[in-house]
Amino acid sequence: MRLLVVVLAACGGAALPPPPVATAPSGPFRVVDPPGGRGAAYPVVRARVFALGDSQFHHLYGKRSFAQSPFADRYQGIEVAIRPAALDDGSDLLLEAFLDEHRAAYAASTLVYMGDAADLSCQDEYDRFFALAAAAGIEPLLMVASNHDGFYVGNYTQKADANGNLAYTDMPTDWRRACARPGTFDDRILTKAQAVTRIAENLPDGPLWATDFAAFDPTDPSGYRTAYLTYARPIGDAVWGLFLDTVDYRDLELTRTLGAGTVGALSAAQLNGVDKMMLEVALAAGAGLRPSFVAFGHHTIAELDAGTRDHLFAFLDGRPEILAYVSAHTHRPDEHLHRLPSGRMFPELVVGSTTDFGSEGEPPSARLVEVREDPATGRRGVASTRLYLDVDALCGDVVAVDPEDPLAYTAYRLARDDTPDVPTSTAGLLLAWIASSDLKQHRVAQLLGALVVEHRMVRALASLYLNAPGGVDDEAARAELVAVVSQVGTRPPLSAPTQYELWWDPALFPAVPEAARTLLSFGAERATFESLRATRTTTPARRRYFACHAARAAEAEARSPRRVGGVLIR
Amino acid sequence: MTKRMHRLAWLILCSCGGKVIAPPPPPPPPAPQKVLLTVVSASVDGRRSDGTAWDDGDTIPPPHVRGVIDRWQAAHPELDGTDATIGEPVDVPGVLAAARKSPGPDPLVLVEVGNVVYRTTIAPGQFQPVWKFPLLTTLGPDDAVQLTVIDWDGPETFDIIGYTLVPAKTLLASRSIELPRFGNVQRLMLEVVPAPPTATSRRVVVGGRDGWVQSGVTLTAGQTVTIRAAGEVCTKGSDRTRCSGPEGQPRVSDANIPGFEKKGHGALLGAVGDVRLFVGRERRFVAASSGPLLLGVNDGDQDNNSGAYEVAIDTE
Repeated sequence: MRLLVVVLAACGGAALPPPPVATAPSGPFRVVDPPGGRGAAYPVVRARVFALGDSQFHHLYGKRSFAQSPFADRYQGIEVAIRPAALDDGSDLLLEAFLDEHRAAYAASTLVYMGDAADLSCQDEYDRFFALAAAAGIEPLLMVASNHDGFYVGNYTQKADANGNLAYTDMPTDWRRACARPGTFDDRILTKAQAVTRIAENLPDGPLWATDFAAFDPTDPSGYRTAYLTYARPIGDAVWGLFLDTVDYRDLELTRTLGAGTVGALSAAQLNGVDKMMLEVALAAGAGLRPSFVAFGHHTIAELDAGTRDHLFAFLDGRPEILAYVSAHTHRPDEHLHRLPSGRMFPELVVGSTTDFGSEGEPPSARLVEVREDPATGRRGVASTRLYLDVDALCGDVVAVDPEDPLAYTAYRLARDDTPDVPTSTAGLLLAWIASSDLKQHRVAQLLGALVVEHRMVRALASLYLNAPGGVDDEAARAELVAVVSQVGTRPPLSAPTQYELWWDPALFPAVPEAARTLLSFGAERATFESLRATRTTTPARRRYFACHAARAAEAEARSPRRVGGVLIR
Repeated sequence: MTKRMHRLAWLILCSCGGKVIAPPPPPPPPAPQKVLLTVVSASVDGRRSDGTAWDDGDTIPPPHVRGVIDRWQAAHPELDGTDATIGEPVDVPGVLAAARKSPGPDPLVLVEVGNVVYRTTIAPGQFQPVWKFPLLTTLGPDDAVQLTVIDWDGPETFDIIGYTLVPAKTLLASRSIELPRFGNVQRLMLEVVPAPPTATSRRVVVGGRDGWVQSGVTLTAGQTVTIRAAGEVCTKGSDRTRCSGPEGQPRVSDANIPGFEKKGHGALLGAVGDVRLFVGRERRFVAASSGPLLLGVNDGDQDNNSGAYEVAIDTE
């Protein structure tokens, strides 16, 4: 029957009904229609896209900073400063599950990565991501610039950032300490210039006019002002993707905002360049052919700066050949219809995260997008469905860690919530400043809290490895893991501190460096964990075990109780 | 020998051999020929037939001539809204008003081939107008070309100076044709040559402060043109709300160029001969007039403008 279909199609016979927007998934996934329906039902499919992103690969082995403190994790109820260790350790396995599904069921779809491959914005995070991409055979790769790929924890580059509200930090050295490999002082931060260079190096080839790229000073943390990447590439039959850079701060002064994660921006120069790319695409298509476009950008339209949003709406209004805007960033799949100045409605499709739950009960997801055409009228539109990870199907008989277990996925919240908040109001900051001009008491408290949280997370991860199917073959590693799991409290250091052990924010001395030497840290256990990571996929059962615990950890993190706005919600 | 006799003779000849062979088809009629027709010049009587001056009052044109004008306008939607400026080249502002004040005629020629209408530029106040107006058309041997010379005072008001019907065979017979008197036209000179290749591609930058920019492309009426543009022009310093692409801002302005009062401020415009057109981001059209193609921004006050449009012009 399949052969018959191929023959009919090849002979140019009557047009066959196209396959539905999403064929049945082959792996542990569920195709779910958006609440408002799939969208355009035109019979001919001109382009298929498999969009995914926000994998947030996390470099566990650096030094904690205020950005990973209990306060930062509780701030505004968005708990992404700290993730469960099982999730940080297994986020790559979740991404691989999505890529396997793409290969198995949607290989004809163009894969688009929506950004935030990194989390802290470290070079090691990007190295891990692109190594995985190479192994999965998805290079060259269409990928957009984003806030976690070039800004520390997605927001900052230096102390002047975030409207000057980084008084509790030691930026940009915090960033450097978080990204350095244990025992070294190497600068391993991933600046925006480095991120866009890496993305540009891995793009499919295109005409010269189809890429607008600059990266002037790769080592300057604040070089984001002169680093950008926008490009156009074909994604289907007479359909092109416009890959926007929503962390393009050439027109917007980022230091007057709360950070790149809170406000995206598109410069006028960028949209001007995109317009010229569209002109070249139209010219290359020749007379009579009218290419269509789908725009991709990391930030949602709602999270763009107001000026950018108005400019973008006017831009879209004058270019009806741009059929939709695909975004990400919020980790929550969604669909929006925007009213453009002319009154025309314009669709935005938001892609979820391969790592995080969008909300309680809403697992990691990707999105399928199609450009469809009515051959009778030539009209085109987009159709889309969500592709959710089916966590129960992924896990099978793997049992989640009991929430009451002291090493449960989110047990770190106990230590986190023992740490008080810091003043954020002007008056509160003034009082704190009177007590100590460098706000030392609050900075020390937050870092001690962060270290206690890390201590428990190291034990939780060690426990996860110890209990994996097949156990731990390496005797020394097993002994180390057992010792780690059993270390409930502090352990006095046995030797004099090294220079690396003393490499902390000067305001945190002596309490934090001393505490750090007595508590467990991922950095100190790096050799053990890195050697074991390679064993996670030696058997299907082990792969399933670690991927399942990553997904269950994400599920647990999305679950109540969680604190929102200083109130504990159960 | 007539065609019928020729066929009969062939049938008889072929029947002799015992076999009936179908006669060869008659020679095909000459194919329609793509030509460059140039309306060169004319001589026009000094007054109407009733002795009045050409611009004394307005004449209600006969319906068939009115229809010719309507068809010309209908074939050129790119001129929509510019009625009042038709006849005034953008680089000769005020010429139309001046022409209306003069007692002399403002003649132009409407050339109608089949249902396709061409219109020359106006020769303001001229009794011996010289147009040298080229147009691209296709002439079949059995076609007839209607030539109507009018005194143009606008799309709604004009006088007929004279009209005539000329067989295409006459036009194709020689390179230069002098038509004798018809109506108040003493004579009309035409030239017809095979159409030369016209396909070109050109890129040009139109700056927001450059006024009307020569595109480097000269259009011939009847030629198909595609203009595509991209880029951004701002019309009020660094005020981002006053920036737009070639489609123009979602607002109009008192500073808009005449003819485009209701179009978006800052939009890309074009002008050729004595007509002007809205271009925007993309416009495909058949040239309504002949001459250099000029491009500009819909803003009569360009001193505080910035930015530029990148424009691609393709002619067929």
